[in-house]
Amino acid sequence: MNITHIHMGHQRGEVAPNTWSDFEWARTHHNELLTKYGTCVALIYRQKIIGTGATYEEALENAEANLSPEMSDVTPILYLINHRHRIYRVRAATGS
Amino acid sequence: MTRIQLQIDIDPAGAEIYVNLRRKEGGHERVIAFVDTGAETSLFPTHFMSFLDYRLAEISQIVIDQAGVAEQVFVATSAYVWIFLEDASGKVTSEFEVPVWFAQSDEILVGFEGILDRAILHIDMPQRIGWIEIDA
Repeated sequence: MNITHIHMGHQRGEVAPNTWSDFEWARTHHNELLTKYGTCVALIYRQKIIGTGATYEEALENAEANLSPEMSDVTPILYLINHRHRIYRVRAATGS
Repeated sequence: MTRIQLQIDIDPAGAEIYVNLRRKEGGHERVIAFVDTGAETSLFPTHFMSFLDYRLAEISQIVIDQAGVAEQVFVATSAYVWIFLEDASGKVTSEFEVPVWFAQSDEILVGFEGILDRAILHIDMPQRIGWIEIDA
């Protein structure tokens, strides 16, 4: 697939106009998004889910497939919708 | 020391931080990560390896404990990635290389090795504010 409309990534110091508001929206609506989409990788642009998938690449392909042709220079955020389990311990299996 | 603001959550309680990861094709990808004082090393989903610039270290096994699911053992790929931390006010650290694990997880965790072990962490839950001071 030729990805042409969606611009992922940014240069250091570069912040798209939608970036911080989209992160805030995603964090605020996390539980609703989890109910609706389940655990997935989501691309969010202007407070809308524009693509989801099990992986980054699937979400990007899904977003590109669903994007209306007239939209260009779309700068979504990458957001993981998950269960936010907050008790973690992550350690090496050997020597523990 | 650079001071970076954290995002403080109440339900579930925790702190999150914006992390910029260097991409293979240039530029960075911005993600929000859970600040995990129980993580030896930062953790990213395996599929992030498709777009991140990394250098491999070794394949290793790691153990992840989480609420209700004790001691799941995952095969992880140890690697090094380049990151910088950022907050919404425009504060950024310099870019630095950190060891990470890539594993079959749907979480992004910032752990000790290379990040929290060089930082001072402030979390004020009643005020819902927090920041990290890091020599970077």
